[in-house]
Amino acid sequence: MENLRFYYKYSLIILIPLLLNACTNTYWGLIENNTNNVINVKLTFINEYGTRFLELKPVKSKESGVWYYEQSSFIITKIDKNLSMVEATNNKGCTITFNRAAIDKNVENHRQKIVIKTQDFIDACGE
Amino acid sequence: MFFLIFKQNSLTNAEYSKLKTLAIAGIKQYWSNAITVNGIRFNVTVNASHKNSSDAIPVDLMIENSPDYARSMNPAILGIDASFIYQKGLLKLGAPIKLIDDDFKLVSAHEFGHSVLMYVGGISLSWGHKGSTNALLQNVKSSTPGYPEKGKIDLMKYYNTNKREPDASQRVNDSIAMEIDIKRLIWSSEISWKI
Repeated sequence: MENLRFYYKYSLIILIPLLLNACTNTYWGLIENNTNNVINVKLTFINEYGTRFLELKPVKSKESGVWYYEQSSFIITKIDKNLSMVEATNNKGCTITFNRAAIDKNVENHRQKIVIKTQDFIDACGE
Repeated sequence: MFFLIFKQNSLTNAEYSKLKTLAIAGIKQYWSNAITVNGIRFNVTVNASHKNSSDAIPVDLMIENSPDYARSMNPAILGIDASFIYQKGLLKLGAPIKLIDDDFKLVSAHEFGHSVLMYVGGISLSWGHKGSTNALLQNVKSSTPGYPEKGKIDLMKYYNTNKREPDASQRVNDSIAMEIDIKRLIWSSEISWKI
């Protein structure tokens, strides 16, 4: 009986963390503002429930805006699978747009972080 | 006043002190709310405190140093410790430290709540997050709504982020223990009402 209790207890100790992590993982997605100005960021999410938009609070220079999402452990990508577009606007009214392909390329080196650089605005709108 | 044993494990004294302070502050922040009993409104303040005794809730304070978010837990059964995990590794991704601190306070309050729900309603209420998830696998049910556009967020429920993702500050600012759960907390301490 004592043995049974021992195995029951330690099976649960091993099993519970596995179960708790089996289905979904929590992530923070970040937009890092690597420019010298404040930027406004709008995110577009598309999935089976429709299209939604999320406007982050203005992101100061060298700081990051954050959103929160969950997705299955079985999805290999770290970045939000529903994120289909990132639009960032600087104080001169220049807007840059990252579609999903650009998002995937941007996060290749930064996991869940999308880095927005001054050069992105120069490429889009010139000096 | 509710008691927890915060276990230091491999944390430095400074880390332990910081995490213990944040956890206690988070429980107070998210579990203090107004309730109505017999038509009378009461302001409830919940204070958690560290106490090294067998009747306190055992909590392992931990730090996750990798950028992967580690899930805290509190099965609230069979002497298995709760784990409150501080997501220090998110600093490497450029996450603001205030958000990481705030997240830890919120998570600590949520995990503490599992002990309350387990005591009054067992596994289905606690692990099932008040009906919003499947009790064992912890995944949200198809009927579970997304985060509300505005208004209060139930501290002890899960929401479907595929239906609506919150911004990080919404969870921190709008989450709160619902009145029913605060009554459950008071009931579980077996207080006698004298009105």
